[in-house]
Amino acid sequence: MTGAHRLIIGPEPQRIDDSKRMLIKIATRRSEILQCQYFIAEIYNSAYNIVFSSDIADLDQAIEPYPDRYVMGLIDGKLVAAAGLYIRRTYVATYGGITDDEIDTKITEANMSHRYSAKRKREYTKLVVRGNYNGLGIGRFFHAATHSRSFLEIDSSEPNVLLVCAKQSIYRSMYSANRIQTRILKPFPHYAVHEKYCSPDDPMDSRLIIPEIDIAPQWYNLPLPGEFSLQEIKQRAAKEIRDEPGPVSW
Amino acid sequence: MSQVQLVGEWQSRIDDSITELKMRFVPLDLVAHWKRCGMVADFLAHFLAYNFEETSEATNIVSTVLNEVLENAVKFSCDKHTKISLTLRHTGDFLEIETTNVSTMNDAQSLVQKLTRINNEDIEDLFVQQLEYTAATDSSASGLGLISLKKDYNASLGAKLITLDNGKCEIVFRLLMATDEIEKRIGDA
Amino acid sequence: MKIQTTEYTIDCRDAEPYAKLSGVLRLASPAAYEHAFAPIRKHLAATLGAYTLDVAQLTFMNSSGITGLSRLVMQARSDSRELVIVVSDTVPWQRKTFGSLQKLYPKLQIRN
Repeated sequence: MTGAHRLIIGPEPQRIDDSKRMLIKIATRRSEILQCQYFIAEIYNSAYNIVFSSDIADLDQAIEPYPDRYVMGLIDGKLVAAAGLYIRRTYVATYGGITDDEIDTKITEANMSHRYSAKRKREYTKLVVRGNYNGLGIGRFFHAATHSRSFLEIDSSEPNVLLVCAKQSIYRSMYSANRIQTRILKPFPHYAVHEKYCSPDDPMDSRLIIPEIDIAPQWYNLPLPGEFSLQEIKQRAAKEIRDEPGPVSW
Repeated sequence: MSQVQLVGEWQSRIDDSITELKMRFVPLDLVAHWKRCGMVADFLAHFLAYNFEETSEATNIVSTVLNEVLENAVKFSCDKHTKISLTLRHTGDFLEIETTNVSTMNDAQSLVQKLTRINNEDIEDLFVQQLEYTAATDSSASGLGLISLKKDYNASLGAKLITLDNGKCEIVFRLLMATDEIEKRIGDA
Repeated sequence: MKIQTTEYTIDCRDAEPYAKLSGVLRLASPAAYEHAFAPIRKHLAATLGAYTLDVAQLTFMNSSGITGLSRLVMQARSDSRELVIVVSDTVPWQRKTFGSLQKLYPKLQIRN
């Protein structure tokens, strides 16, 4: 299941106190990493009836691989959002059939081969939001804020390109809305594990993000950990609904 | 006031076990790493197998049965944080496996129907009917596990259902099988 | 075509109506098996003559897997294809389980 998307597990958005703040931080302690893994497993299992494994992953058997790094969103110390980053094996390369040559071609087209190479690639994945916090703009804000270099470039001294795999509606509602541009690589092959996720009307594809030029600086340069007011997050979400989102991608 | 319903062959025939083991789990642990179901079943089966002469045969059967029962308890836990338990009791002549989990009322009613059919209908016919039915539907659970346990190991199956105040149902599921199903009695061969 | 994981192997022999399952198969749902067995289903459709499915070295399989196997049996049934399942007497669960699949398709043969 892929890159970036939000899932709804609770029927009603919760009324939350606007004076609260959301802390966004990278999971570093073992307890934080496990919290993120289990949170993702719980939501994916409830929405898509799939299970996880850290040592055997096979999309045709509805077994998903866990990401290598995690970022968490906490309100009052409670985990309400999480996302992962593959830094070793990427989903898009392993299951999406994308080769390094295809990635390098895109990097060259963007005149960025002096900074980036397909040898250094990562993948943003498994964005989940607790059901009763859905519909408040938290997911979209968390998505944007976690495209900070603090997270994307963790444990790396050189810049990495970012891969993503999602259905087209997610590229529109999250990436374009957040001013994160994506470059289409190719359609994602059909796997059993995605049957409850995408549809012919809303197919999945693999895309490339060249962070320094594709991610709006306000997000790429956002320092993490950081605390953000829920009131501002909600106002921002309301404003975005009025604004027409930018182009989907090119 | 909680309501209690007994279904199928609930009465335990075990009053004093030789071997007894009880484990508690967070179902999410097993969803987060699915191989843990098989791992727990294998561990308990290996543990118990020393009580048998043919340890590898006993391991294979006990693990198969335990895995089935544990997978059900995990799948039918409506909140994957609410702990489930698995208890194994062995008297020498009988093996009893008990699980406790909290499920939705719908799942609990399906279990009642399934156990009623298992205890009243021809098990071979029921097995074939279930295969035909599952083949024609796109269900995530096969519904075959309990039928197989009765058919293959002549297990007695029963459950106690306790309606909780939150509208959910606590299910205590019990399986009893004769150890003759695991290895032939001395002198019977 | 051969699929090998740390847990199990599915080996469909080229140009021969023979597939072998070995290891431990405890996937989470019938849907998961549906996809794991897809190569066998294709192979069954692409070959001719009596088809042999060798499970003798499959040490464990859960009931979702029995459902998965029964779908292969039903595929053979709908094509009136001869199907032989090779089991092992030394794997106890197999002794217990496979006989009943013949009720699904009387032409199914179970061999040791």
